[in-house]
Amino acid sequence: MKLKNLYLGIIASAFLFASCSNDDDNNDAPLGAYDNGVLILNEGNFGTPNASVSFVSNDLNTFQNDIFKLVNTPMVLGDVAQSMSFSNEKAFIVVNNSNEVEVVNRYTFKSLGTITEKLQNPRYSVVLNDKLYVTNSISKAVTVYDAKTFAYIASIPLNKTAERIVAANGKLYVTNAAYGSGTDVTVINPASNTVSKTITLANGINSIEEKNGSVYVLSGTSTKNTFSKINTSTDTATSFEATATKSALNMDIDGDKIYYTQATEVYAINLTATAFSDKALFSVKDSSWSTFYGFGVIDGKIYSGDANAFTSDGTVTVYSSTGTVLKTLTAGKGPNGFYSNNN
Amino acid sequence: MTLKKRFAFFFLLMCHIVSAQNDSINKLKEVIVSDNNLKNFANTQSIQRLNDSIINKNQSSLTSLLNYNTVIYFKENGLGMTSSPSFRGTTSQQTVVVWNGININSQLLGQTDFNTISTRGFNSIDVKAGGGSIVYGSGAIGGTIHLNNDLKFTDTFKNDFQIYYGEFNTISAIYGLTAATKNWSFDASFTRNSSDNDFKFVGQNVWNTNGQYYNNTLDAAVGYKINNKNSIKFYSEIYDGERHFSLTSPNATKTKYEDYNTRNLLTWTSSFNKFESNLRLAYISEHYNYFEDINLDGFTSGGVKSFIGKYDLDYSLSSTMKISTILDYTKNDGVGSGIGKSSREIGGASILWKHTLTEKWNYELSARKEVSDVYKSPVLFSAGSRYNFSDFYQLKFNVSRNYRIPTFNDLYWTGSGNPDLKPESSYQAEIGNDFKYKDFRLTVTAYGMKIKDMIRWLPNNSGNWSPENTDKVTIYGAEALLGWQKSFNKHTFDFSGTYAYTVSTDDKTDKQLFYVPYHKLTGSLSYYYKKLSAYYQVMFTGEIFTTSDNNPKDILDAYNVSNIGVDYNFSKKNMFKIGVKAANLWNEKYEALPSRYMPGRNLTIYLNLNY
Repeated sequence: MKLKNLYLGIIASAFLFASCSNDDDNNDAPLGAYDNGVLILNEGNFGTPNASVSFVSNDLNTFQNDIFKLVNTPMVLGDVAQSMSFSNEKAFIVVNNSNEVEVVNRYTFKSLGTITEKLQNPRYSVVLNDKLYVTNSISKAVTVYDAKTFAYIASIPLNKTAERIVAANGKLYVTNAAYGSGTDVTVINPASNTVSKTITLANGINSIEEKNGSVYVLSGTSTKNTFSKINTSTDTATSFEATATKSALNMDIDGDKIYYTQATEVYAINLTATAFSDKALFSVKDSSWSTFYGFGVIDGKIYSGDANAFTSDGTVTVYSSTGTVLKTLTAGKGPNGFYSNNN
Repeated sequence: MTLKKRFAFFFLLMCHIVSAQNDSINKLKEVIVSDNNLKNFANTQSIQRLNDSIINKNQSSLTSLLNYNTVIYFKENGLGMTSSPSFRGTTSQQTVVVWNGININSQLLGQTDFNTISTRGFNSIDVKAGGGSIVYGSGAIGGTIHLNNDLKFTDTFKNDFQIYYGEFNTISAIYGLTAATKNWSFDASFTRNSSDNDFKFVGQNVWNTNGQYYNNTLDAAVGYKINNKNSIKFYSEIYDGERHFSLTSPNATKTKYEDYNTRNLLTWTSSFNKFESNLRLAYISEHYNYFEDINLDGFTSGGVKSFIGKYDLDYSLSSTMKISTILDYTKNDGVGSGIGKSSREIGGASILWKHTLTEKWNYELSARKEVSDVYKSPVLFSAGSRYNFSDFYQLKFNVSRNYRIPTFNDLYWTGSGNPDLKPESSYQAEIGNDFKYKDFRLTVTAYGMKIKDMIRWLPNNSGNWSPENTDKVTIYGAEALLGWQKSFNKHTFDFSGTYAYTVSTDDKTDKQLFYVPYHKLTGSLSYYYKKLSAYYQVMFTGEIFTTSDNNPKDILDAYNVSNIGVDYNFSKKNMFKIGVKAANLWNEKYEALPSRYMPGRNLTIYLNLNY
């Protein structure tokens, strides 16, 4: 540092002010149709209502940020958009810290309504038989709404952590685990809105997926990985584990492959596999932190959402199955999920 | 893919605040402080004193007082909510609040929430820019804020009562009693602040919701002169407050936060031959309860109890040479929802040397080393010199190394704490110029600073958040403090102003740190005529980046907020003052943090009695 020059310069400029700057508004017009592409959910900064949704076409050539705001100004999406679920032409965006579920037309992104009743830090949702089921972390309950009128119907108390939820074989499966700890999956009978069974699996459940009527669960801890498949007729599980690999996260099923991540590596195993893979598909450069804050695999393409430590816009990178970078995009704050949006 | 709720809360506190309703008059005065070390060993740095008349003219929160009168920028999460400073481009944890010579930054968070300090119980508040870790310990990198209860030993008996009532049902009241003889001195006060804080956002049809707060502060100081050579003083403060945290989206879960802090300090000052000794024993506690949902009974809580023993021994070799040693011991015991039960011990030794070479020239040297059972600490030092060229101009120079130790949360938070953290450390240098001409005073200081091993909580690839020693930062800038007073006939004008230019860049990205404005300016003009006084006050904060990449779409606009007030003293002998003030006179729409709007124009009426 040239302290002397600096010193004089500072004194000379001491009473000059930078002019005010205006926010650089996004002047893009809405695309009109947001189908045949991927919706990227950007959760935003905790405590600030700056969650957003980005859209990228399947060929990765068309990209637009902040589509909810573009279409629905002056509405704002809210504070921490946690997850999204779909039913016919509707998308349900669960906004955790705002205690809201924003309902939009998934193809035009026009707002159709906002659900607020009985939501207490909602986390995830799923639609089954025209009913929307939402997990809530404060009330430790699943709340039920009419997916067409958005009217509140009922609450199903679990009295333990209610996190991810999927529907399979006409039933609901809710993980009772968060932040890397928790062993249970609760099965809910939607006909009676009651808990029909609790399935205990390995500790550290972080992902759950439905595929071909079965439910797949990934547990990862600092000592081992466990993969479980739930037979939804009997609600019993078969599992295999690995201690050589650990802290697996982000399970996503695409076609007949199960993808997951470990630190900065991406792995894939077959749906029918009976062991974890010891060889990564590829590994990404750990450019900052939180490289796989968001992760998803759609039509063989692997999407990663780097939250950039929540101090700037997130970076979405799209890879081929061998790790070739197909596209790098600057999305919104904290990209946490990728949702295929084909018509 | 989850943001850990309790961490999120933790971050909420790490980010931070500014108060809009206030007004003040700022005077630059020579500093005479009770804290010996501040008096003796800070001659080569810049110190700004805010006396009781300035304190009384501002809102009662420390955020508000300093925001309108100093160069410090505040990250305030809405009026009265959590608030933390950025002093000389540093982070919230790199400014220390010093209560009667004792560092009171939270052991859990490493910082002070400036909206949990009520200012009116103090006689004076000093703002010292630059490093001070040798005397004030961890965190004294950007600067130190000194809260002083001064005791006078002259026959006195005085009552002081002030009450302020403003819009949004905002009440601030203080009663103080001062009684002293030649040997005894007693000073105590009780302060109560509360507000519904349900103001309307300027230019929007939205009201601040769930922002109500109250706090009570009891301050007491007792001094006894045993004889000419020995005196004992006891200081105590109890703070009890509750704040609801205002919402940023309408259906969000309502939360609230309670603070309960106590501070007790016993000092024994003794002089014999050429020695002067000062023994200080302090016991301070901090405790919080956080209610994740105000409709539920459950809450998380935490607290730390600290014992601090400090022994200073000064020896005057001659009238021009003085050597001092400080030995200190600190034990912190923490217990809480996130940190379990944990404790740490720190022992330190400092040596300070001051030499007056000629009437015009002196220098100071000091060094400190501490040992702890938890972390390794660097050797700290400070060296400075001052030269009086003339009555008109004085030059100061100071260079120092300072540090900040990891907090209890950084080290012990279950599943996330990182026991291998190193302290943050910094080197800094500054040159100060004091100009004085008739009624005019100007101080211009330029500084540069390097900080490494900055501790930051980051999400990691195992889906968790954890603190790391990551960033290196280079900061340089300049500050100007201006004062001017003019009287003619029965009219008196008093002007003061501050300006700071701050460049604080991350070495890796070469971008300005977010929440550090390049420019901040404050100014106040007071006018006195017989028993009438009036004042106008302005604060300008330049545009603020909110992201690490300085993205223009995420910039907070610059803001310029003015307050005005007028009062009249109806009493002939004592004080019976009635006044009115308007905060945010021009109804500026502004936010110090994203979506944390501050109130528009609002009125307060007040009554001050002193007899």
